[in-house]
Amino acid sequence: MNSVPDLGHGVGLRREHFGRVLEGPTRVDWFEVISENFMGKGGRPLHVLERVRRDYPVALHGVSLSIGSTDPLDRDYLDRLRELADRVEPAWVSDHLCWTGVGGHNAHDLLPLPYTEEALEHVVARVEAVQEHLGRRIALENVSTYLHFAGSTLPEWEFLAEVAHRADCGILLDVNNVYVSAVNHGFDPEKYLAAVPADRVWQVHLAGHTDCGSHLLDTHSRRVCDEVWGLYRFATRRIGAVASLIEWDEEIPDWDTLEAESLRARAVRQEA
Amino acid sequence: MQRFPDLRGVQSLFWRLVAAPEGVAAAVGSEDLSYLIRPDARLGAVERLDIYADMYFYRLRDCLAEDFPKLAARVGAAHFHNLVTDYLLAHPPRHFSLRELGRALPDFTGSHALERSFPALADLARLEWARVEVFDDADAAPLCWQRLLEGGAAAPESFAATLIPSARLLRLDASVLALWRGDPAEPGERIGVRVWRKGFAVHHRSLATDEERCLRELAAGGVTLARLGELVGNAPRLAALLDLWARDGLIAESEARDTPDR
Ligand SMILES: [Fe+2]
Repeated sequence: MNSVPDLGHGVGLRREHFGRVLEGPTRVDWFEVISENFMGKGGRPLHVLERVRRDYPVALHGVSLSIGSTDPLDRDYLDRLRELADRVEPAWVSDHLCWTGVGGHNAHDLLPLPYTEEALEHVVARVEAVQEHLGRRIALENVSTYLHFAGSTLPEWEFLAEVAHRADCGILLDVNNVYVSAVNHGFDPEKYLAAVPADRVWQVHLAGHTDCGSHLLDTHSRRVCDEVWGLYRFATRRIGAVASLIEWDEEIPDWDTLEAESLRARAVRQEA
Repeated sequence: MQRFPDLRGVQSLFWRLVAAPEGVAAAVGSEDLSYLIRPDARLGAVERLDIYADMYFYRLRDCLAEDFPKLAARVGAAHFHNLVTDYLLAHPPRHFSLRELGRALPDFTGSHALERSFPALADLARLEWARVEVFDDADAAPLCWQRLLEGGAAAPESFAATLIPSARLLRLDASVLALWRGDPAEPGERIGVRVWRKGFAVHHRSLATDEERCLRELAAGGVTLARLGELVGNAPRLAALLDLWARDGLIAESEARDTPDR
């Protein structure tokens, strides 16, 4: 049985929509925000977040945890994340199953891990340390990848499931990322979705990508494509009713277009 | 063939290739990377790493262009691209927040060859960075005119004020204010400029000499009205400045402290 509530169908809160969302009402059920964008000391972002939080459930979604890096965990970052979580009281806190830098550098990008026993043990130990530091469990999201390490010994879905099982954390299942990686590496996305432990999935991400010919790029710049809606339907039949969220970060559309994507997610889930 | 490295080795090598200023292909040279990355019919190892190299550079460039729009517009896309390339080489991002990426760009611009072709470029960047900083600085309750009258007029020796946290005092080339608006301007004298946030809106404006003197002391906190009177030298002028600061939401009430030169 899943340990977190089904929040319904939400969208990522972006500053282009701050005004519209505060004006209200909207037809979305909840919002996800990028944690790092609200780690300032004051000003409009925090004000908006606190106002939104009054009316909706909110999840904190980070991009800088760098759970797979071989650099030490950034304690300053974890302190700030904890502070923000204490302030916002989010439904949950999530980040990505990846690394973002090494040698003290930060690429501000979600970099791929080799799926090895060594990486698995490393990530599990760090998830445990993070959960301890934050005083709460976290969820990790599968990322889109563009290369396959020659040393990988596990398929990605086994690696993800094993991390969640050993570290006792949640999974943020990004269906678009599954599709993008499936096309980029030539595996069957349904095989991936069938292998994800349903009881660990706290949330689903849906987003659009860009076809670059030789590969798909996870751009969050357009509507969710038909193949991904199909996979969402497939995933929903397996994992049941978990919170869905539309991510749209580039070429951000007007509010109505974004809201319509979220309503579509609701319709697809009902039909499934 | 080489053995697949441990996780630390994979990450160090990946980083070196993806962040290489000369590009992935040049950094790889003739090395065969098939021990590291599995090639397939569509893309080789270098092309796959290139996807990450592009994402790294363009994300950071776009972030800097967002924080320094006037600087980017002044030098144009090609120069800005090169400035960012040089900057990232000298100051690769280290902080967990992209918000910090541009912190060293104003000083770096001052030492860059572009500063000679575009005078006061570094000062333009300083103004833009101050605006980024105050955007999400701590909130404060600014002093209103009524409170100044009630508290200040009654006890000028003990009623003290401070600059709000979301304010910065700069010294910049005078041409920067015109350049920021997009107007042509020749470099001139250096002037005081304040950047501050009122509510959620960020503003900046030039400073008169006496105003700058007062604000620099207010920035250290706890300046009494009596002390401000000394700094300004005449009561009507102080009243006008206090009125301006109250309207701009620039100062807040604070504990009095000993002033340095008394
Ligand atoms: Fe995602």
